[in-house]
Amino acid sequence: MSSALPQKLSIHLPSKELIPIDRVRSRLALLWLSGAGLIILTLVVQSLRLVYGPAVQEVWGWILPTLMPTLGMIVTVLGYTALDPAISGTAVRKSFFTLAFWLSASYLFLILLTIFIQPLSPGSPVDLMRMSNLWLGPFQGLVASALGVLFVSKRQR
Amino acid sequence: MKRFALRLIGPLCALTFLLSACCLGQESVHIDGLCLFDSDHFDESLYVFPPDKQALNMFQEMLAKSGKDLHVVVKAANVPEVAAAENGNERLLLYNQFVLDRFQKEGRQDWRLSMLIAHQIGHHASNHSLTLEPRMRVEIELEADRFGGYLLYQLGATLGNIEGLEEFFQNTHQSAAFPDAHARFKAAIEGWHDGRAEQGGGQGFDPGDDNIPKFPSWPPPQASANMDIPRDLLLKNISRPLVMDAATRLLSALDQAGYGERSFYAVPGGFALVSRIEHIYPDGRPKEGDERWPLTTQPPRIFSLSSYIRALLTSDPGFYRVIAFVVTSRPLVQSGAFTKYSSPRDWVWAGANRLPTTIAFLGYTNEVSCTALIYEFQQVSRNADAILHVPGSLTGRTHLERSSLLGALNK
Repeated sequence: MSSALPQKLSIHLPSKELIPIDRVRSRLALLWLSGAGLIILTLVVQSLRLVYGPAVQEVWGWILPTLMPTLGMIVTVLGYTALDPAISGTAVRKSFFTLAFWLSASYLFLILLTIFIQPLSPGSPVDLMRMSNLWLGPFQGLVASALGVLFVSKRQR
Repeated sequence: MKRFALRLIGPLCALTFLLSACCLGQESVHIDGLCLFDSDHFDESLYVFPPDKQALNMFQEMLAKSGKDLHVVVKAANVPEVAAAENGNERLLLYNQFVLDRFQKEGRQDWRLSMLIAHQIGHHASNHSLTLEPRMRVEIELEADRFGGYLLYQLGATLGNIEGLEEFFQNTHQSAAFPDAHARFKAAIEGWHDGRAEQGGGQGFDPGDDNIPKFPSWPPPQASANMDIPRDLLLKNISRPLVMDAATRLLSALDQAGYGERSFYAVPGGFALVSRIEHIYPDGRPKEGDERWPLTTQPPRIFSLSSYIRALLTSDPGFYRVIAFVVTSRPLVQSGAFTKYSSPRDWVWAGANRLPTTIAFLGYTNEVSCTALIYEFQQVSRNADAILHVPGSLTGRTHLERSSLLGALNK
């Protein structure tokens, strides 16, 4: 009498619901680099034109921890995969990619909003930036989790 | 016989009185108004007598010490002590012979009586009308007290002598027509300091009027710009100007130039009048409408896309101005002390709304000058504190012209 373990049932999703990880990474990298580029360019111009006066260090102290961890991870992974000539066979569910993409876009939009709303706000720009940490902090955690999965995952299709 | 003699005493007394009155030149007089130091009423009929030589000399000496060419008629009278009186164009100084004899015997060291006499001389020296209604009377009595203090200094009184008169002032009869005893005492002390200052010994004296706050920082902080306001501009066609006249003119000019709120402060030898802080263009013109009167530094206004982009990418510095007019008989020295934006901003809230009489009735003599101190602040960015510009980018005259104050003073 042979005892056979029950086989794990595996149902593959149709191809149209999957998306190659390389494409996901490049799209997200494009979104992050263009969004962060716009933000940093705006801040550089504002800093050079003394918009923030003596508070310029506080402004950069706000933006760097907001952008650089995620940007650093993206650029590192892109650089690592650029050294690998083999195409990764990993695929990602489109729904998750969509979620990660819109989380990233919303996060970048909120940062841009904090900067571009300043002329219309009665408060000090630095106070506005400090206040935005209330919602950007938790949001950054969500974005980092989503991007971490997408950029560090090595599962094969 | 004894009864007969007693019957004769009455008529004899009456006869003696009539004869002595005729001999001494007693005459009943009418006066338009008088001052008895703490009252302007004399209920009895007023009789005057020719003065004795000794008393006349003493009064002439005191009148000469007043530094003015006074035409005052001195007479003995049935007044309680000393009185100033006015009868048409004639100005009278009336004294009680018995009181003055005692004063002479004591070597004129009774500073209380000296103050009484000096006060009455003060009325004549200041050409006061002694027929004023009670409300106006208060003002001239204070001025006479101040002059009294001044004259006492000329007569050799020390500050201690004047301070010793506090109880005397406290014990004077209080009435609606006469000022508060404490104010009178302070006015006398200020007058004494005026006398001392005139001889170069009063630098740094603080008027110390309790009814008005002292200027927050004295000497004043170094201003961005300043301008001496010409006397002719401030006091047009006023023969014997008072500090009050200068204050009235400045208030009128501030009103015409749109400065609603302002504050008075006491400064040594005069007063300071401070305007509310205003938001200005870099060229000194005031901003329009409510934007002119900020309590905090203001964000730029957004009218269009271009103004939005300009506000986003440029620092758009804000310029603010406080004007302080300082009217004083002392030389004005500005200290180099740094002034924070919030300090001059709050000046307008902390002062008095009008000048107290002790300062208002100071004479605007040749030693008095009016200087406009302009404090110009710039906020380089919305995150920076507004800082005082020393020296400022504009001259004092430019500031006053563009704020329309000079135009208002010229009218």
